[in-house]
Amino acid sequence: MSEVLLEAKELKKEFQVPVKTEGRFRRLFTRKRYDVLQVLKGVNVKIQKGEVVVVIGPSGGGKSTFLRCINRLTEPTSGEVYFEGVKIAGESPVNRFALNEGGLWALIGGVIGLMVGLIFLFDVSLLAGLAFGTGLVPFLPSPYIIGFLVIAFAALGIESALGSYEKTLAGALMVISGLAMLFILETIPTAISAALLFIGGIRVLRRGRIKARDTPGSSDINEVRSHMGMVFQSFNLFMHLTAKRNVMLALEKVRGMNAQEAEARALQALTQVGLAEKANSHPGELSGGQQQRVAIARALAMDPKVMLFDEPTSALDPELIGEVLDVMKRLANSGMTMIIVTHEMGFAREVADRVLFIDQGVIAEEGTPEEFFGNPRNERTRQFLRRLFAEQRAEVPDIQPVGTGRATP
Amino acid sequence: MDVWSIPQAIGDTSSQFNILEHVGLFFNPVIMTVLISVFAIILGFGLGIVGGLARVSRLRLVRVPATAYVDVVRGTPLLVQLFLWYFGLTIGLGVAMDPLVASIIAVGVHSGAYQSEIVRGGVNSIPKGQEEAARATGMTHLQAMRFVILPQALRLILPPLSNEFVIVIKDSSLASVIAVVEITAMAGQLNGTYFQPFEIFIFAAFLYLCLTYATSFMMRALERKYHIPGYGDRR
Repeated sequence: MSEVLLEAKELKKEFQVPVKTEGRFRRLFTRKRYDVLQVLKGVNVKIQKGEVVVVIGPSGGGKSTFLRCINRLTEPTSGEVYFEGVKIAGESPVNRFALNEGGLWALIGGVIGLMVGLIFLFDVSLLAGLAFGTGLVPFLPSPYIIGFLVIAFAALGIESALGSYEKTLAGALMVISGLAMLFILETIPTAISAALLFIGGIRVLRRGRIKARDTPGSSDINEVRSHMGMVFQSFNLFMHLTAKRNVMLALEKVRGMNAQEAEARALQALTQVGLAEKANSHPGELSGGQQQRVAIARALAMDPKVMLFDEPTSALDPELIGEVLDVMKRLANSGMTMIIVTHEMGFAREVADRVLFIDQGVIAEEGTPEEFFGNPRNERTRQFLRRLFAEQRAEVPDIQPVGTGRATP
Repeated sequence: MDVWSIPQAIGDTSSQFNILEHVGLFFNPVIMTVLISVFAIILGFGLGIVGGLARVSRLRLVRVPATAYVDVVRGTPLLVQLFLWYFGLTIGLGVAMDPLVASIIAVGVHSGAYQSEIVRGGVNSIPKGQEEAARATGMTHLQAMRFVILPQALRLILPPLSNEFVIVIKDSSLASVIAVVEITAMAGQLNGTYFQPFEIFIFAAFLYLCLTYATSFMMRALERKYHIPGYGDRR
């Protein structure tokens, strides 16, 4: 129980909300302006193997964002996430320059334009120019290398086809366009900062493609995600596939199982959630509760090391919540590590090893369910719980059985 | 002499002329029309899938050329494009072009632009949660597209696609202007000989109707075949 499975350090997430500018042309010639919406303001949390952590808090407090930052469906702005000791999300220190895609393109286009242009203008050996360009290759993320190679070969073609007069003309044009690309107004700051980083010989990483090479294990995000099951509020079952095929898809395409293995595993997972007899039904033919159980089976079939639940019962009718919570309870008892964002207080109290209260982008309080519900220290927590229980009492006159009480703010 | 007797004055053939006696002449032209349509549809569909996916790509270098293709091709007349592909290449650039190949390319590329937009609309109409769910199980972006988004999007776009396929069949009639003897050209030639425009072009229209109806019918069959139980029903 003492082994740390997941760790988030100073996890921050800012959403950039573009400020609407009037008129098309204004937007063309001025830099896009953004308002920053801070959703997570530095969340630190360690999750042990086998632990069941329930995350509660008011809407808009950052609970879902926190969950989605863990498997990077949402890219954290800064901070780090470690999974089994391997860094799977985080910024290298140079990345505060935060290259955006447009800036990177302008930079690469500009550098290549300049390079080819100079070759043509001054008749520098093509090889020398290409070598300069190739020197950049290790700094570029893979999609750009392809683009670079295409342009390099195009340059070779042009070089052999053109006479000296055209070459000079083309060279001048390329230098101009290269400079223009480097100095597109929108991207000056990023392009310059990126250029400085290049000159400094620092490895520039595109945001979100950070790999920790010095730590053992894998940090390919797709590989990592295949070990983290995720269950969504809106189920998100693949609508064109039967329940069984929904579960089989990732087993075949990600795990590389053959059809028989995958089918056997899928049926096993569906049995686990009590839906073996619905294996050949399409999602459209299932109730919400059944759909959510299929979604759990889909995540479970991959043998995940941790399961992430993003408000799994919020989109369900009250009488269907029970069946989903039952499955989750069984899962919790089987020793699965789980992080659950939920509004089901009764359920939280029953299954949680630890409760996190996330409000306004920070963990305002954390503790065992007994501490948390019995004796909350934080004033915000107390307010939240008071309002919640007041609502519940108004809704359900009797003390409701644990796990079926519906509480949404 | 009143208007009704003009045909008689030119040559009274209506009493002898029976289009059904000339049906055999249309055998090869129908095959030509089918050839152009089928290959143009295949080419257009391929371009449509590639173009549509490129238009929703996150990479600007992929997105911009696709947008340019759609805008340019959709924004110029098919007849002009046909002339460009045939006369432009053959006479202008000295590239020998078979008229049949030129018309397949022209109609296919033209249709591809429209199909790109259809595909883009289809892909965009699939909820974001579908891709997120796929990515969350560890699939790559391309895998999610191929196994989750496209299968659903293609089902959704079957009705507009059948629209487009029917249009391709009808657009193939333009190939007659670059000397491909398909239905319209044959009808024109026949009319030149017998001057019975009404019968002849009604018959040509009937042939097109047969082809387009067969296409609509097949597309509806496809829709039924790939219908997802409990999803997207309005009936």
